[in-house]
Amino acid sequence: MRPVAIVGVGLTQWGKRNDVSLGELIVESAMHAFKDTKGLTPKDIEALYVANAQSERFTEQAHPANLTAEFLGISPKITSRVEMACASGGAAVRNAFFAIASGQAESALICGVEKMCNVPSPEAMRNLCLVEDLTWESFHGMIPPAGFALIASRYMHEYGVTQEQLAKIAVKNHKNGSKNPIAQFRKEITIETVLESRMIAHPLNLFDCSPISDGSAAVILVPAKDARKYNDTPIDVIGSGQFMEPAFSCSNMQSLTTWRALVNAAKNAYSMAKLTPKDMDLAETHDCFTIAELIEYEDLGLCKKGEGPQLVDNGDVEIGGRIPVNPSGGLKSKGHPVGATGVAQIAEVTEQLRGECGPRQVDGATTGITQNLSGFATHHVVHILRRQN
Amino acid sequence: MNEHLAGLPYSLVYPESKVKPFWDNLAQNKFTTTKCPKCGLLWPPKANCPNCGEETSEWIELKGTGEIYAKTQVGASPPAFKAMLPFILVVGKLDEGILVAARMEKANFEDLKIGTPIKIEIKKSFGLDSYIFVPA
Ligand SMILES: [Zn+2]
Repeated sequence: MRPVAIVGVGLTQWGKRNDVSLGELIVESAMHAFKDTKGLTPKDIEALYVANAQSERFTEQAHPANLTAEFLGISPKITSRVEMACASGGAAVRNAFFAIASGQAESALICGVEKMCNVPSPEAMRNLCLVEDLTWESFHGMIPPAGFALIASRYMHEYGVTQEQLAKIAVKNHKNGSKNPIAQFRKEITIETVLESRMIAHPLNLFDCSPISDGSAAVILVPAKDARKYNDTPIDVIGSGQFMEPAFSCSNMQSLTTWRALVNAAKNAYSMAKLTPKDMDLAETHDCFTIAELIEYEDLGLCKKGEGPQLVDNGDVEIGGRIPVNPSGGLKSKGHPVGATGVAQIAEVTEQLRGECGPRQVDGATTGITQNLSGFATHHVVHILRRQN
Repeated sequence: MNEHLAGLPYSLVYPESKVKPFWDNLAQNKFTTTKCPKCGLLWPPKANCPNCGEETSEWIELKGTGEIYAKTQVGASPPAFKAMLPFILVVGKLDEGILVAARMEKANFEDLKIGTPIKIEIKKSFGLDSYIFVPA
C-alpha cells in the first residue's frame, strides 16, 4: 500500500436543480474538481467511481458510471458505480483510495450524485423507504425518520437528552450552512423553529430532519508522492475504515444507542492513521437526523458515551469550539443528495485543512475526520485527512 | 407512482419465500418464527441461520407478549400509509428475547413508556396477513 492524497475537490450548487440533467450535474462537480488541480484533465483519469444510490428511481436513468464516462469523454481502466444507499459516497472514496494505494491506478475521480427533486416528495419518501427491510419493517410503516426516532427514544431512556438539546444541533448546522455558498438552506433558525415545526416521527420534527436534494460532489485522488505536481496544498488520506453490522433491520442491531458499526469503522480509521480522537481538529458527520449527530460525537470518540448532550450545551461542536462538527452546515442545512453526501464531506474537510472556507473556517485545522452512514446506522465509512507537510 | 402499487405500500410478493409458513401460520392465528437447531430462535424468520448457516426446519409459536423497547409516533409517510396518520410504531421486546417492529393500535402515544407491557395481535394489513401490537 502506498500513501494517497487529494488534489482536487468540487461541488455544485445543492438544492432543487431543475436546470440540469443527471449527467450535466456530474460534469459540474467534476469540472470544478479538475479546475481545483494544477493541470489535471478528465483524460488523465485511470479510475472512476460514481457514487449514486437510486438514479433509476429518481430519474429512471440506470448505469450512471457509464453516463459519466461519456459526459467526461474518458475511458477509465478501473470503474464502478458504488451503491451503499446514503453511504455510497464514503464507500466510493474508500474504493478509489484502494485503487491508488494498490498501485493499479495513478489517478482516481470519485463523482457522487443524486437528483431527487424530479419526483413528488411523497414518492421520494417512498423511494427512501426501500433502503429498509421491505417485508419486516417498511411494510409496517417504518420510514427512515421513524428508525432514528426509535433510536432517539432509547437514547432518552438510557442517557437522557431533551428535544431542545437536539434542536440546538439543527440550529448550529443552519448557522454554519448560512456561511456555505452551495448550501440548500442558507437561513439561520432558532430552537423554536425546530420545536414548533411539524412532527415527522416523535421526538423528531421537520427541522430535525435533513432534506431531499439535488447535488453532486467530486474528489480527485493521486499517489501522495505526486500530489504537489497537481496541488500546492495536498491533503493526505491517512485513515480509512468501514464496518457493517450483520443487521438489516433496526431490531437486529446490537444496540440502538451505541452504533457497533461506527465504533469499529472509527477504530479501523484511527488505527490506520495512528491517531486518536483527541488529534482531530474538526469532523464532518452524517447528521441525517439531529439524534444521529449526537450519537456520532460519542461513537467517534469525540466525547464519552452519554456526554453528547453536554458537548452541545457547552458549544464544543460550534466553529470556534473544542471540536467543530459539520462546519459545512451538514446534511441538515447543506442538503442530502444521497450519493453525493459522503463525497462532499471529503471535499469540505479538504477545503478546511487548506484554510479556504472563509467565514466558516475552523482556524488552524490540520487534521479532520469524516463519517458517512447508511441504513439504520448499520453501515459506516470513516476517513481521516491531514494536510501534507 | 406506478398504478399497480396503488393499493399496496410496496410491491411485496412475500409468500414467494422459504418462510411462507410464517404467513400461513398467521392465517391460523399463530405468531411463529424459525428456530436454528444450534443457535435458537431467529427473528425475522429465516430458512438458514445467519449465525451458522444451518437450515431451520422447526417453527416455534411465540407467546406474543412482551414490552415496549423503543417507540415513536409517525406523522408523515409515503401515500399508502396516509390514512393511518398519525400512527404509533414500536420495537417490542418479546418474552422470548427477540425484538419485533410493528405498528401499535388501541393506545395513546402519550401513555406509552419504555417497558409498557404489550402483545401481538394478528390483523390483516393492506389485505395481507399481518400483525400489530396492542396494550397487554
Ligand atoms: Zn445457527
